[in-house]
Amino acid sequence: MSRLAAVLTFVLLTSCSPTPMPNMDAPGTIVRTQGDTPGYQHGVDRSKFVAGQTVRQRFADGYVRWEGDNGVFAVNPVSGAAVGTLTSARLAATEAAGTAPPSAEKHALMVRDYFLNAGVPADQIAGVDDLTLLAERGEVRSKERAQPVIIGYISALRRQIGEVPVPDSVAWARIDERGVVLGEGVHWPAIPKRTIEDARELRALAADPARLRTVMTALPAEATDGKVAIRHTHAASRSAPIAVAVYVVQFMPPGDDPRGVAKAPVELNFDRQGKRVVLPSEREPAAPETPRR
Amino acid sequence: MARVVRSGVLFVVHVLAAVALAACTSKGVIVESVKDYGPGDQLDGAVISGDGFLKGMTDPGSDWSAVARYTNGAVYDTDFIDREIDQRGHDDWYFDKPGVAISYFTGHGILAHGCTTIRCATSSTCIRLGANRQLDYGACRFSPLGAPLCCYMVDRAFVTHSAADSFGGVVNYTSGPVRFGESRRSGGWAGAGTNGGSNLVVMDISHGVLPPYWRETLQNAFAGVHLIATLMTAGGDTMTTAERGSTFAARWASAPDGNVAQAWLDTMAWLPSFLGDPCPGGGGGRGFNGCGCHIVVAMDATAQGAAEKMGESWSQLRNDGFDGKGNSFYQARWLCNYRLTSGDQAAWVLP
Repeated sequence: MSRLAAVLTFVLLTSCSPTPMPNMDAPGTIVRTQGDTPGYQHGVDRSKFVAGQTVRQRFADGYVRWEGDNGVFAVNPVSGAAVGTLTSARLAATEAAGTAPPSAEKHALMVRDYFLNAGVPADQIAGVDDLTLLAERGEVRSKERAQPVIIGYISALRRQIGEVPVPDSVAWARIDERGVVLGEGVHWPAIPKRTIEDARELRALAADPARLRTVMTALPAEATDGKVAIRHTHAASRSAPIAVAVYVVQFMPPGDDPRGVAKAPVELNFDRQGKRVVLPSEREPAAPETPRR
Repeated sequence: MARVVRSGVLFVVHVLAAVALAACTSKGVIVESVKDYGPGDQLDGAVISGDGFLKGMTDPGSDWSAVARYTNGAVYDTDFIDREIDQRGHDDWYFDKPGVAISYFTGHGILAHGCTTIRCATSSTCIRLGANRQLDYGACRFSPLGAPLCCYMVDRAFVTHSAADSFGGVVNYTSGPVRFGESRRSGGWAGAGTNGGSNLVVMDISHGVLPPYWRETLQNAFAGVHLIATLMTAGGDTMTTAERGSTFAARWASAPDGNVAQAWLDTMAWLPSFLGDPCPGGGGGRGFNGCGCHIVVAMDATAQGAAEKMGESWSQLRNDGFDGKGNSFYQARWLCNYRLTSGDQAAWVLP
């Protein structure tokens, strides 16, 4: 074989060889070390989301994807977050078919049952939130107002361990009247034993306002109310997962801006020693500013 | 021989088509984020949200490209002003630059909500004499957090905080000199030239749109842009959520053929559930203090054009051949953090 042919063959073979798959948790219950509160890893074998008749698996853009004609089921191998997304064309075709969505109550039950059957621990489900999906169309300058239409619901489980909410955990789905999953997202990590113990201590502290104030000396004066929660790295994160027990406070910053700025509430997290906790998602990356013309 | 010639011609045609498509394609991402509004007003999470979106879209291996990142005092209000409408503006150099596909702003919105303290039972009683002695037709608007009140359409804006601001730091995208997306392919029908670029504008701000005025609020800003995505409060306020930007970018990374508009809506479902005040009757949180929605609006010269834009995938979003040729027809799509059982105007407004 000529040298050129050998080089071309090498290039062809290496460019066609698949990117190695990263390690991921197997679908099902997740326990990292003994004593952890179990989490749940959603997987293509437990999901009712159908990516297509023929599915190709590959690793791209930070996600392990099972890709088919209907859509893709993808897992973030670092956080474990799993998501099912229809292609844009399939979503349009599905909605154009005009099937009325189930009622909000029925949808919530369907989603709860779906995730319970998949493996989300029943004792960690605090409730189900309904998110309403609406659409409207018309002429921009028409004097008549068009009527919005409810085109579906997303129901989302709320996670709680004992009495402590875990707001960063998600399990949501949009399901049609026939039980077909039109979209879903799950991020339900295991929580270390130490974090649960910290949360118990924080709850005891929060129940004693006088003692709370002696520990939480860094609490702003405007923060009059707080709650204990377990926070963890969020679903889109590409950094090593962590979970911490925190005392969360929210308050409006004082003062008015003469331009009528809509001030947003401030949210701060404190650990059981009263130290401010900066979650990984709250750390500002040091990124360069683009030079201006 | 004829087969060889035909194959060769087909090959050339495909190459030319690919070159033409590449010339019609924008892949740039620009993010402008403001956290620092002066002492006592730090919008924690704003820069992180913007950076999270930029990083998530342009990680090594992505075929999106980072065009620019500006934060705090380096975000000028003129970055968003159309030069053809007001010559102090330079959106063609910054936020709406040619080659940019996605323009993302995160920072403060404005409080003005247009609502009076006048209680109502029907919108027909919400008529007043406006500034130009014309009748101003309002809406009897309500939310899970408040009784029905007469509310009127008011301009919406977002706010910058830079020593170089020329418009007081207030970017009015309703009746101000803001036009997005005008290009050679959209044409100059908006009177803003053809030196724009953006195909998707995201305004991660409080009160980006207030119900039910989604079309009135945004119609002037549509000059060729395919989609505008923002936040709509229905009672309460937006929380600046550090994860919003990275979560939206993750929708692309996990499913590049997914629907862009739905990706913005689904972003809300991923945000922390019960931080922020609840919405009465259930729900709340997910980036809002109270009741709110993620909303996307598409506009074009025809109803079909608006529908196609609402149906775009991330790949289709890049195609400048789809730039809007007008703003006569619209589609709006939104996901609210609470249960609605009625989708007609009675869900927002008493008729």
